[in-house]
Amino acid sequence: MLYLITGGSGSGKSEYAENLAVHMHKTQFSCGKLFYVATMCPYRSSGEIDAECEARIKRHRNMRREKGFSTIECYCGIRRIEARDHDVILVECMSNLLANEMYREEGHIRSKGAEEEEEMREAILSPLLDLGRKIGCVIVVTNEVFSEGTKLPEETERYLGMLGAINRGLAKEADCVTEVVCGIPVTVPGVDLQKGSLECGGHW
Amino acid sequence: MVFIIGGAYQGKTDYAREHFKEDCTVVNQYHLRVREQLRAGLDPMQEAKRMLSSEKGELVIISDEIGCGLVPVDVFEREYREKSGRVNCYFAKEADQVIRVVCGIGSRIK
Repeated sequence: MLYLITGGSGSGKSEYAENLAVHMHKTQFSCGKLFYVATMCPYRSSGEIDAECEARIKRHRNMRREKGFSTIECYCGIRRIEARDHDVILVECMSNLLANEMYREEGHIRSKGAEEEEEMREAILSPLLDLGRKIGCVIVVTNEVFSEGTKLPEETERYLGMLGAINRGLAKEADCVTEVVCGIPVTVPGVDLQKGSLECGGHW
Repeated sequence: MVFIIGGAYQGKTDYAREHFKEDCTVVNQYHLRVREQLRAGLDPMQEAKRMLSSEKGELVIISDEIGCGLVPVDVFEREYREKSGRVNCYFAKEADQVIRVVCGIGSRIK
């Protein structure tokens, strides 16, 4: 099972995703483990602590403290995550993981060629899709950062293009895509226009 | 008229390609037109109205939603963001269907 959770900054998507993971674990996959894949690194490339990242990490740790997660730190290389059968894993979050892969020293995404970029996107996408098919439940948190509107530097656009493509790849296979708006989960339903349906899923 | 909106890189163009016939007139990246119109000293709302009244066949307009970031520091960027939003509201009002694409998934919101 694969869930994709998106939302703007401060929208409450993390709390929603955590609660969803706990719920899935409790109600459907209680014989498996509950993992939290943390992607934010508190260190800069220089080795110094980044105070802002550290504070954010602390806030998230506090938020999930009593929810029963085993935390796996994974800044790059999502392929090495091992989970099985009835496990539930929450990946928090894709925008961070991708930035690490593109801009940290140990990251894997360096080339700017379109073909290589697709390969590298696959290296992030396919392990998650595989896990989604194999284990109890994979919940991926991503970030709605596509509506800034102002002209962005080329490199920023490249990053956004990569993140957008990964999000679309996940959404295509996901059992459910949810956009969290002001703490309210809004299911992204999708409508088959060829069937002439006027229904919007009742979520709007 | 069909109006397709969503953030950048969400798959709006692919969505249009998959769901609408080839003989539709597709106006893609309308937000960039608004930008050009402002640069040229034109009123984007007047231009939008003119376009709708002159197009006769089936029309699909695609535009980025751009109003969700911080208020831009630059005065032109502020005006562009505002005007683009107003034009989007106008298209949505006139449209028979409005589709919002998030992560490649289109939701019909009108």
